[in-house]
Amino acid sequence: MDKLQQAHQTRRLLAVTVLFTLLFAGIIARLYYLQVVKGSYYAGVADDNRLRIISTDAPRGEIRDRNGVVLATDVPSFDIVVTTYDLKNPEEELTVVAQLSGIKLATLQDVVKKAGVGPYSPITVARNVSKDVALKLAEREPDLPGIQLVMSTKRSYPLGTLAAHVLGYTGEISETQLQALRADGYVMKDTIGKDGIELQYESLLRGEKSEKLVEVDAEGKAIRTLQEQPAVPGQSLVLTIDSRLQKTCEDLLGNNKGAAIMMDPRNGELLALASAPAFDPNKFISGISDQDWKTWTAQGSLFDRAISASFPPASTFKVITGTAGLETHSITDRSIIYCGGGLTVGGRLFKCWIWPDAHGNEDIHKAYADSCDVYFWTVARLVGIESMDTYAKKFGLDKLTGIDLPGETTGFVPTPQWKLSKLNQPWYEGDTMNMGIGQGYVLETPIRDISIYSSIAMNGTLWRPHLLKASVDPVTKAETQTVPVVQDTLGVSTNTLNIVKKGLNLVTKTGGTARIQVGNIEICAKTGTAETGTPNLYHTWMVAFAPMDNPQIAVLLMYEDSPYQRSTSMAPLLRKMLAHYFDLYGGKNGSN
Amino acid sequence: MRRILALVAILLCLGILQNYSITASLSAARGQFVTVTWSVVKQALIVVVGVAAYWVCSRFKYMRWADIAELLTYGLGLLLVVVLIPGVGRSVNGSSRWLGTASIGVQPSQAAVMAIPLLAAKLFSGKYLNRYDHRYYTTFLVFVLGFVGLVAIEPDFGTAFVIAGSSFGILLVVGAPFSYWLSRVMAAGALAAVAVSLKSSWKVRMTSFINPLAADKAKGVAYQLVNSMFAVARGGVFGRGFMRSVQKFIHFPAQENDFVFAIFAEEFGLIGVTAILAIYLWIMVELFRIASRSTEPFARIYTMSLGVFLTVQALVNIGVVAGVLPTTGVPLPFFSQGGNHIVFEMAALGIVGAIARSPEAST
Repeated sequence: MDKLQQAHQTRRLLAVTVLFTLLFAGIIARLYYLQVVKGSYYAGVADDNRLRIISTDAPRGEIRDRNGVVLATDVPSFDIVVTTYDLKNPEEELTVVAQLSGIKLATLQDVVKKAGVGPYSPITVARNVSKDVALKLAEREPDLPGIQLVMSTKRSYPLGTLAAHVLGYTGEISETQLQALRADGYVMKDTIGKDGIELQYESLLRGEKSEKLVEVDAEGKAIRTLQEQPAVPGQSLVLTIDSRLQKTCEDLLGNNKGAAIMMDPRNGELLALASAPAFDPNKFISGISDQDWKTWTAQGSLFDRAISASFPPASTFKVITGTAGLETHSITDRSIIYCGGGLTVGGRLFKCWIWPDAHGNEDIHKAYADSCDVYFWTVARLVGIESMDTYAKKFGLDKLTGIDLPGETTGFVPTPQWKLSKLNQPWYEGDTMNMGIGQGYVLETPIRDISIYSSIAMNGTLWRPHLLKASVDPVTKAETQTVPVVQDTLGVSTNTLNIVKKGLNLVTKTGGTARIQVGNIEICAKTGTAETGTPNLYHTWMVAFAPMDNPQIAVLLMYEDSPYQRSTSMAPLLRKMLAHYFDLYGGKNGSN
Repeated sequence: MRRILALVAILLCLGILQNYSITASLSAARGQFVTVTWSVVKQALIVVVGVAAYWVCSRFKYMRWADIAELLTYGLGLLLVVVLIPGVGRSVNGSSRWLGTASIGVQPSQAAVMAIPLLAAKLFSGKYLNRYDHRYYTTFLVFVLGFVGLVAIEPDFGTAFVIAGSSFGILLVVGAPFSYWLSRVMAAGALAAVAVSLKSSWKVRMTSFINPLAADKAKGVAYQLVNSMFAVARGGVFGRGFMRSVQKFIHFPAQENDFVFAIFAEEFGLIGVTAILAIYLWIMVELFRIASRSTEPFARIYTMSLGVFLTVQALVNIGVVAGVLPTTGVPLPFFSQGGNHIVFEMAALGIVGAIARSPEAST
């Protein structure tokens, strides 16, 4: 670098210094304009007590069934909000609010204290106050500066208990949830999904609150909106549920405990998913009475038996035993096993359900039709516990189905190692036999059971069971359809599954254990009666799919501590479910 | 150099005080009365780390930096790419700027305060830059374009703007022919206009800037701008006094970092603001003086480039608060809360410290 260049640079440095000085001067001029010239205007508006940010909840997305029937929506309600800065006598005013609303004074003070916002931001202290309270408060409002009644919305479930476990309910955000979710913009007293679809799809349903920057007068009344950020309503959800079929299922369950499911095996859409006893989610919104709460806890009403409870699958498990037998070549569809009414193994007599009668010579088809225990005991013994476990796992007993609801549990596949380490007992041949007929230690959830039959119907493909059919953008009305997902493939030959299907078909024919006829549709079904440990008290299952060669629907009905002694008595009930489905949808696809 | 350090020390202390004013009042408003908030302690620790960074960098012979300038440039480029990889870069408020965890993270874009002056010094020293040979200028601009593009994708519109603006400032001081300079500035402006019109999130920022008080469809982007203008306005000539800001209680999305200056303006008024601006101008003049005294080209160009960079960054931050530039998130050098920028700025200053100590540069 030579002197000339340096001199050039020094000149440039001077020029840049001047340039930056001018820019700084420009900024100072601008600040002078803001702070002094226009200062009185801006400062006037911004003065201590004249700017407020009012935030209003966004309407929560509606939940509808597949035909547009509204299952959950928002209805108007009143909230009480407090702006601490505007309170003249905090103690006295909050006492009035406490008296009117019936909320403890200490609770109100606690909410205000823990709100975590500045003194100028209104804090919601009570949601969904009754009309009565709202009217009384409205009268007193002029004497209570800083306390306001605000129009808001609350959640409503117009069909009451219908699909309660599917929908779930909403409630006030808990303190621990708040800690975790503050970053997402949740504040105290916010409404959040607590269970079911409301919880699963909280982020879609929630929307974005509106925020208004308003100028208020000395009384705290808004006189001008300076800025508004409108609320973005939450997305509406369309469920796969058909409320008519859901109703049929719930009626069949009645006052019993149990689960009923209807699923489209071709894509995993759940047309009905019922659990009984149910609850009324509206009661969570208005406040639950002690008595309701006691009843619900005693009956386990909040518990979703369809996805969260596992039971011995009983004879419905025989499809897995049969598949294992055929696939391991322990039997063929021509193997004949003789049922003499019982089987003596290890010195103990295992009685077939028909004991003291007998089934005689059975091939696999007839064994399904008769639900012959001796046949499947023998198959289980031939297959052995290791392969039985392998096939139970292939059918996903130890896995979740992936349904889009919180709280799903898996079934259970017992192994000799498990028994040794947990119960400190060796695995007996009798245990293998018990498992072969779905008794003993093996467990399934109802949603898994229907998934197993759906995958058999679909020649080994299990579509993930799901409830969300589409979400609808509130503004553009654009629908985002759920794309069905293949959850699992069995890896079992079609030939084997066809043999099993033929057996299941015979179940519904004359001479089968559960005669069902719906028009001329070929139906595959299986019953199951599980021992509960209490004499003469059973869990009864029945599961079916139809039409056999072109499956459209799988149905399941299951009673815990069943009113029936035998699952075969459930055939007319299952027929009702199938008939209702084909009434509604049968015309479209026809029978096979 | 001592004068620069004294001025920087003032800024660092004011930054900690301002942090205290905001966080202590906010926590008081939330019902937690604390004398010293964690945020203040953290800021003080960051200043300590910054001072250490200054000391370390000033101990090297400054020509060492010339040796690794190229390496640092490519390294920064690489990190800016890495930060964009989902899962590697950490996303905060929708822009992917960070590497590392929530408590300790590095924001590579903030290292530009070192990388850009070093790159300029490396390219423009030891060469006779005649008006017919634009190769070095063009090389510089290509690198800068790369950085600006990567930072803008994050998106960090503010830092991208600072890098671009200061780079053109640097070209001006090192003596690029004016016609060359002007044509490239215009080209860059056109490029920026196209980019803004193509990317809707940037467009929103631009429109919210033009009319912040209009009913806002920009979903809160203009919020901070309006509030910052209110805060500044409330300050008046003399300010409301330390810790007396009211505006800080009202929703201020970035109240704890990029908009501290708004709170400062409210508390200290026009006089306080003018004083701060004077300090930045003074630091720039001091850096230019060190540069013009030096005969060694690398030292000379590095120092003047750093002066330009810091001044542009201060101008952008204050310009945003004053409502004359689109809303962006640029920290105020040595002042705003946040670790990365202070540490990198102190390190960059450390190199000047090394230059000031070396005999060939200070004659």
